[in-house]
Amino acid sequence: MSELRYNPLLGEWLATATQRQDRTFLPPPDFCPLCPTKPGHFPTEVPEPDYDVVAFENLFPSLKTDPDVPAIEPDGMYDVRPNKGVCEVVLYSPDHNTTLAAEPVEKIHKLVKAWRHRFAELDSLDFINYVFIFENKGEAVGVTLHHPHGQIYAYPFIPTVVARELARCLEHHKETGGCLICDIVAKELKFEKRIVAENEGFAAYIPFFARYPYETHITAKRHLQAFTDLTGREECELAEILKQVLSAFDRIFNVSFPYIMAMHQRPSDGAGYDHYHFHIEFYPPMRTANKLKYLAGSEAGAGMFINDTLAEEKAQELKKLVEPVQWKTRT
Amino acid sequence: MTDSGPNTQCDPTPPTARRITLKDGRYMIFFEFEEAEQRAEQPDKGLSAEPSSDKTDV
Repeated sequence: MSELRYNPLLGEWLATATQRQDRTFLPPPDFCPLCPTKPGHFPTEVPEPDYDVVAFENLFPSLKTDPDVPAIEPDGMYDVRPNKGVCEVVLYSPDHNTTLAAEPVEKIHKLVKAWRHRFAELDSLDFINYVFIFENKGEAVGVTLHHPHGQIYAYPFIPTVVARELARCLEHHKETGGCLICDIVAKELKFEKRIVAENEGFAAYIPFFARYPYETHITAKRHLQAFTDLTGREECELAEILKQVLSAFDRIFNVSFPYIMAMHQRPSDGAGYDHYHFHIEFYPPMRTANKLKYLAGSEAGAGMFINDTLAEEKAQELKKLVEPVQWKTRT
Repeated sequence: MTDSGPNTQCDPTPPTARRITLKDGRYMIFFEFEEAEQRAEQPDKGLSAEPSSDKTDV
């Protein structure tokens, strides 16, 4: 049973999804539902013995193309909508034990192309207003399946975090005629000390306003709004800088580094968003080798994050761990 | 700063999106990629930046 309920106090939608209480939770590797189905073994969700990259509708979705009947009727200020939308899972590899960071840059390049495909298709659906591509990695951020995968939520509304960014970008555009995120990238590149990695198409940095010790943003240098605006070379450059940043994350504490990866693209409601700018945000919860950053009173109850570190110092620490990317095939 | 990828890796050839329907009606899309070496052997093949799959049926 699922539905969308509106929070009139915060002005945002939330989903109820009671069926998700029963979803698969940290199964042993031999019974991973996201591995390929091998002959003679138990049938997984993927009915083929091998794959490269796969996307499919989530078995336990909070948003559905054929939505549920809401459990409760709207009542004046308490608005309720069917949970119409799409939830997809994107499998990065048939190898249960790999991670995005451990994959070669060529594989990450393939994934960039798959993300582009999924964005283009979901963006074209008339009941979708926002396509959100993301990954939850590690038990520290609540994963229930260790198999390397990301997710896509296609919402029938523009979610709150993106809506706030859009509003700020529009204000900045009206005030200056420019793009706020272009200006942030230019400022970070000029300051240099918060830059983690850079190539012709993208910059990776721990922003001035980072809320987490290793919060890293990867932003297109060219003013563009979505995956579908990338050139072929920019697809490669994005794969390269993702490989560099993710590999550096794993070197910080010599562990498979947990994170939330959030891809912020323009909405899909058909309106113009030239004032917005494609970027990827990483929220890693680790602040030391054995301590996590929790969302406690000030963060969860008031919205003010307290960062126990300086972005300038953490960026320099992370930058030292960045290594060049080598492609296997050369011309 | 980085070692730029070779041209054959950076062309905009989209993957082939092979779509199947699972027993419970959900769709599943297998992305299949033409390797750079294969493309180099097929220089006349047209390239497109748009998805190669047919329109969604969701």
